[in-house]
Amino acid sequence: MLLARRPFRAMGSPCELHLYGASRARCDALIARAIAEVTRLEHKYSRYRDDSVTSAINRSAGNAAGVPVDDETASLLDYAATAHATSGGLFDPTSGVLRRAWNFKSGRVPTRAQLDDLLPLVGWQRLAWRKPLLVLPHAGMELDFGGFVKEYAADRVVELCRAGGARHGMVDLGGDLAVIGPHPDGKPWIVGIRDPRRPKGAMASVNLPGCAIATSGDYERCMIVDGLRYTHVLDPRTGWPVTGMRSVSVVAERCLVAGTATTVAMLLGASEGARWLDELGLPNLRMDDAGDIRGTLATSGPLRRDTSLRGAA
Amino acid sequence: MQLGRRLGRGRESAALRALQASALALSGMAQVASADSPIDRVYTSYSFSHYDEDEMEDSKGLPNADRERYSVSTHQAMLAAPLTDRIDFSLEVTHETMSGASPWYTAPDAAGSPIQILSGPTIEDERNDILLNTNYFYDNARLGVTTGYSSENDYSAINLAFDGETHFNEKNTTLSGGIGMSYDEINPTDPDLDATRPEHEKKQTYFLNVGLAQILNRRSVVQSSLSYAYGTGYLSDPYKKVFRFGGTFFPDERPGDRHAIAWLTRYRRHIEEFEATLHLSYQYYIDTWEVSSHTIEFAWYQSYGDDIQITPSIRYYTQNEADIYVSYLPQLSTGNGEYSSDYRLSTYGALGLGLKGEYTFRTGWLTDIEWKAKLSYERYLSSGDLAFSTPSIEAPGLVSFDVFSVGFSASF
Repeated sequence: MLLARRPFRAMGSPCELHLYGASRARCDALIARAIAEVTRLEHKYSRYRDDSVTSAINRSAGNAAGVPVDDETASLLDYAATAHATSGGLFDPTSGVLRRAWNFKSGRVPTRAQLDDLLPLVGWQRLAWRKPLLVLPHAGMELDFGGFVKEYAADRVVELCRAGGARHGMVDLGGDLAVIGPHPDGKPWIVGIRDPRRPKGAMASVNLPGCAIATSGDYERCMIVDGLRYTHVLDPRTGWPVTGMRSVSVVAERCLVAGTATTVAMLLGASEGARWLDELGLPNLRMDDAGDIRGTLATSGPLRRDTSLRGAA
Repeated sequence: MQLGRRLGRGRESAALRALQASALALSGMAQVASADSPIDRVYTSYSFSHYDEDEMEDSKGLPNADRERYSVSTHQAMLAAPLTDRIDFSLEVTHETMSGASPWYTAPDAAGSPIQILSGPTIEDERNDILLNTNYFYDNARLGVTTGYSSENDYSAINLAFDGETHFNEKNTTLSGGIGMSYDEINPTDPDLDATRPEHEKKQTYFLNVGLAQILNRRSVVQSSLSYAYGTGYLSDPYKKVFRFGGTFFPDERPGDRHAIAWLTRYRRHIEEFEATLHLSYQYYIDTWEVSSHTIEFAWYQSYGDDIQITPSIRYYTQNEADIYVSYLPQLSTGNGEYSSDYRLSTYGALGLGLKGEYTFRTGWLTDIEWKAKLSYERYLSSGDLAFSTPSIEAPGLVSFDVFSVGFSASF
């Protein structure tokens, strides 16, 4: 059994697929299929492509007749609706429109007035979704799958590899990781969790036996203006970047669920976020604004290797 | 799954359950939406099974005759593999050895009740069978061809079938169909011993079926299919006789053709709480010999973790006799016409109780191999009393048997 590792770039992130297989050819065939699947999803839900489903949806904004969507998109919308409801409205794929005010390359913080102009366009509750029709009633509204399609793609890669006979492997889509199966000797994958303030370093390592881990951090796309860090995770209620958490990692069976949990925890802030994760019962690791590491995957010290899931659960 | 249980048990919040269910729905949808493809791995299997009929009850046969009936040992091996990313194939070979006695004719005892006379433990035969199947996969459909050849001492059959399926309604609906034929030659042993035993006969069977499967939701599927079969040629049994009261025999003589229709409906439901899948099926069968039957089957596929599956099952069968079925002919009968005393054409009911165990494990010293070890046992009972409608006279040849089988498979 050999281990094939294939780095590739997709969804604006460095990605890597680790796959054990009986032969090079079999690994290559599966890897090609996995990459094709990620690329398919990237194209289908890209904001930057005119022919994407996302663009078609966003072009329909203001049209009361709505736009019919395919089954896969419908299921993603169903998921978004569930996530929106269970997070008290914090998980919101319509908040992408706030990017019109927040340009993280500009180094400028938008004015309250700018944000107030955009907020009426934000809010899942403002749109109408009834399979297969999606209606964005206000011109200018936008839907963005970017907040969860990468995690969904990781789950898809796992399913596809397992269906193709793979039993051991792991996919990493820009820090969203999902395990196909442990190493052939049964040992879990050990993954490092990036230190938000030392992006090349790890603040902890986690044993991942057969599940997924997603991480959301304030370091990903951000700007520092007058010593204040403004991160890309924007609160749909205020239009303002979140504060209180530098990074949240969550382990769940599915990367999609893990990703949603990290996003919502970031939005809730240090103490509320911790409580919410605790309520979900998902293993997690958090670094707050003071640099303290907490969570069920953390141990007393600031950094300890081999934090085992078994111990956490 | 296991992780989810480990992580979530007792603490899993409603929010997490909602998210997981929603994410899972997405995965089920995506799986259904994935294109058709040939099998991904090489699959090979071997199984041995032994079929053993119960001895005949004393009251059902001649006082001093041997009670031993039929037994069959079957070895079966199979290999399936992908050829290209659009084509796969499979090859199956079967070797069977049969021995024992089979029902010959039924005659009245002193009280007029029919008893079964057996052929005597003379049968020693073997059957070899080879089956070759290949499939071509389109983006949204599959086309398959199967051909087989089977040979015994006194029998040979060659068959060819085409089948296919296509999906629509976002792949939630599958339409399947097949057409095939079998060409059989019968060369009974020892034709000289019996003037009415034919030397050489032929029969052909043509069949057609169409089915529809519908995914109802992530957990359940329902499937319904209608089959039609037409048999023509020599459909009788060259070794069986019909007895006329007073002591004359006529050959087993059945009509030269038979049209049959079977309607099968299956329902499958996965029950997550129990890690189990329920299979239910019902079949209605009717043919132009006026045989009609109902079959109901219930099976419970219980998983214990990823590696063990135990499947108890129960099957009930009931049939009404063919118009040509007779226990024996009355004394004044001319013997002209079509008659058979084959118990399989009588009114009877049957109960099958099965238990199957399957253990899956993996080894990885050479390549990554997934092994399955299978063990199964079935007990089958048939009698007139089990029939839905009571037979006028129960066929004395009705059989009960055990089947025990053991097998291994490997995919890599």
